[in-house]
Amino acid sequence: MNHQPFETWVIRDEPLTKEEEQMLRKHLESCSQCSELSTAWRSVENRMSSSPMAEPMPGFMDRFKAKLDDELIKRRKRQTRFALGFSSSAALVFLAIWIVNFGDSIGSPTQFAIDLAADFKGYLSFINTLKEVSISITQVLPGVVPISMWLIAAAIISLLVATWFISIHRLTVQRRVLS
Amino acid sequence: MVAQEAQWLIQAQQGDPEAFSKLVDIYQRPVFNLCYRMLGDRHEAEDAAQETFLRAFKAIGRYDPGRSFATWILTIASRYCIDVHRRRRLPTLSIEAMPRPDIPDQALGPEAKLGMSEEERQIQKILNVLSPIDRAAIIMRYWHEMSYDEIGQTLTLSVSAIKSRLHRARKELAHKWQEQEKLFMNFERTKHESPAF
Repeated sequence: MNHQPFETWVIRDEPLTKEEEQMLRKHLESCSQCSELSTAWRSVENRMSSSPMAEPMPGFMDRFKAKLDDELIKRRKRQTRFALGFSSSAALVFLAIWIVNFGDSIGSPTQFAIDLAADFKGYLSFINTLKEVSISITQVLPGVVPISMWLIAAAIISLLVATWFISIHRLTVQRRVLS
Repeated sequence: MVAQEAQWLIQAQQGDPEAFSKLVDIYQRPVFNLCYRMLGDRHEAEDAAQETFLRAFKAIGRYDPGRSFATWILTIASRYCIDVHRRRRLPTLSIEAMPRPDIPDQALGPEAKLGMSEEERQIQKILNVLSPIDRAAIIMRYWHEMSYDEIGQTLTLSVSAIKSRLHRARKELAHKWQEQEKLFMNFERTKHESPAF
């Protein structure tokens, strides 16, 4: 006996047309194989529909919060390791540049001390120049720049400082999951 | 509630663990149910559900708010459970042999547990004949009442592929049921036969 399309109709999820329903009913009366399949599928469907949603065991949320706390601590440690690694790499790069610049004087301690003193003197004279330039600017600028521009500049600087503080706070403060 | 949930989602995406915990509270039941039906063991389902939420927390920044959160979280859960099935096929150390924390099973009273266990065992036994993807599709359709489109999104399959998989799965389940019924009938018959021979 040909069981198609009846076998498909028996387990189809979508509704049958009236004509299909009549044809199926007629076929099921004469075909025990399709009839048994239909009964079996209906039993399975009923069993699945009546089976409730499985509930997690009590304390699921507490266990999750503990795991989430561990995860946040791990994340914080990863961030710290990254920051330390980045700073160390940067320090190593600067050290390498410094060694290249002072490579010749490393062999002789006297030459090294002379170079260091010369560099220090250079830095001091640079700072002195900066100081003189800034004094000149502060003497000239108030007459040239209007007061509104000063206020805008002060507002921008305050905003940048506040952003910097907030960023540092968000990066350093460990959030906890409250129960 | 929907607006509140959307608010928690935004906060969770900004890295707020408390807001994410509130979402876990809402979705713990559907996620646990999917894991339990997929894996058939309450302890494994607990581990899978916890892992699902941790993975979701790590990936929440990539969640598209235009998509249903339920579909997204069930996608993570189903993929994790399918991976667990794949790993089970590999010859590794048995999970059963590993020590696990003693979590008391207090969800149901002893009477309810006895009443449910036979039904649950029967359902789980026939679900076990299905491939993990077909099983996930059946669970989503019959327990979570998801549409073909939603199941397709979750399992990254087309609607026609989902329809064909569900059809094949239903047929397999019906045949397995018939087999079980026959075995039961044979068992009952031999039990009442005279032990003369």
